[in-house]
Amino acid sequence: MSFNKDATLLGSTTDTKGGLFFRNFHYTLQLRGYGGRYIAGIAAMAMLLTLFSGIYTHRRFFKDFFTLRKGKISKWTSDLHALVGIVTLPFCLMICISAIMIYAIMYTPFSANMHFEQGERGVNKAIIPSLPPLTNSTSTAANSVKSSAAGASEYMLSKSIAYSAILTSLKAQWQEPHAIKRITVEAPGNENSRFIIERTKSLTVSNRADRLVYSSYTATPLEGYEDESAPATFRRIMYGLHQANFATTGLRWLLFGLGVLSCVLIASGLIIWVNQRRTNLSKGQKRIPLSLHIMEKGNIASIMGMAIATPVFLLANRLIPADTLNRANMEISAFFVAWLYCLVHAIFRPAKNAWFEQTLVAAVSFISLAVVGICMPFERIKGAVGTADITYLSFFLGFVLCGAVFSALAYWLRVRLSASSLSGATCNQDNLETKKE
Amino acid sequence: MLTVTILVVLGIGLLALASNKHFKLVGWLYENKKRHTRKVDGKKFIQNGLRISGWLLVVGSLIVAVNATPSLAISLVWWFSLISGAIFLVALSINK
Repeated sequence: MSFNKDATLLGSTTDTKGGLFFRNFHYTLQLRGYGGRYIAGIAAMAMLLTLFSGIYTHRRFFKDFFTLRKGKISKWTSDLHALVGIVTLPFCLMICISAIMIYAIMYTPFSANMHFEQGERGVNKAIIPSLPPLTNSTSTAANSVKSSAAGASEYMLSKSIAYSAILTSLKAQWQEPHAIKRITVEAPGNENSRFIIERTKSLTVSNRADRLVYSSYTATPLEGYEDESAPATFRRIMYGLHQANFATTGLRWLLFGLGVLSCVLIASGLIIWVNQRRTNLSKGQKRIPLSLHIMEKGNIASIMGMAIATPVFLLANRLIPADTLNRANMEISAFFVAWLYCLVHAIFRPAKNAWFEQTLVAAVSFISLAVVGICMPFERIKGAVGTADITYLSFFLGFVLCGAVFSALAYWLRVRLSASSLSGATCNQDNLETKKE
Repeated sequence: MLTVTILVVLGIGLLALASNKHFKLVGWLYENKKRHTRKVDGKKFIQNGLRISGWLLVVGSLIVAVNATPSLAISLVWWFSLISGAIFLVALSINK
């Protein structure tokens, strides 16, 4: 059971993947058990290499790194790529290294297989501390059922005293507000039952916060977990940095901004690469090689495809009726179908047109999300404004902002497209006139 | 954290102005005001002054950040994120 900070029970009966889909997709690629995590690991290692190659390539940029040359778009894009690269460098390094560290044992299982019977599982069992096993005990719940009404009330009283004693002890040790993250009850109703109380992660970068163990029957502190070894602690810190459970709302937005800038870094790098190859080709070679063709179409499908599939997933999340069977899988299907359409569209349309059209679709999708957010149901956004629900409202504003940015980009691409078609038409007319002469 | 943000943005802003490309702006203003009395090393002096002030503000922001939260590691994550954000904002605004 989950509670909010006001101790109200949280729960939803709607069958939905929600934001958890993106969390799982980013490291399993929806291929858990089929090598998805290995592919993600290889990608993380490749990204780490490209980061180092980027540092080497742009090493002189550090001298004068506040530069964005105006005028030619290729120079501006190159400057933006270098600037964003420097801005996001510590973030990207941290994300890549911690991502590899999380699954380090899975990616290099040889040592674990050599020294432990169960391989990776054996290593985890050896390095992750656990509690001593519960001893046999009689069931107090059964006794209380059998006992008289007076006995039952005595039992209830003793339990109530136990809770308050645990709470007093906890408040003395953990003084921050909302210090308890999770309470686990083992062997409930038994005399040997125990509470495992986990502290909130807001004060540590590690993904394992302090845990205290109490007897739920007598409220006495019990033997807790042993300290982890230094390598295990280091892995936990890397894991915690990757997940950023400690971050407050402000820091979460900052990290989100850095994540978006990292996407800009990758997208601008891919576009610069293709444009540079195209420029080099036009000097001598007339026909575009297949590899460049694949890269060009792949860029459109991966960059704009993701920008379209994401709002489509969220639209499906809002528009599919709550009582629909297999609803969560329908949301995921909507994501992949939208992405597939983007790929097919990119293959069959000229590159410039495909960029413009898919940017326009992304703009429409994000604006639709904002409109749906207002309309369905209106009470939800009204309530969010009334209760100053920052999380909900910031999502809504984020959709509006994304819609505006993609609309501006689509307009700019449209102007460039018309300018290039106009210059192309003028060239053709000139050629025709020359032939007539 | 508001103080840290202000210090970081000001520090990075001064460092950006002190960079060779953008110092032209400050140098031009300086030349207009001190056209008749300028000395040869005046520009260098101001550029170094800006640079040192920028670094002092950035280091000051780190000290404030460390004191602002109970965990050193969380302070460092905050500080690095703010530095990244400030560099991006200053670079975009100074090139306009």
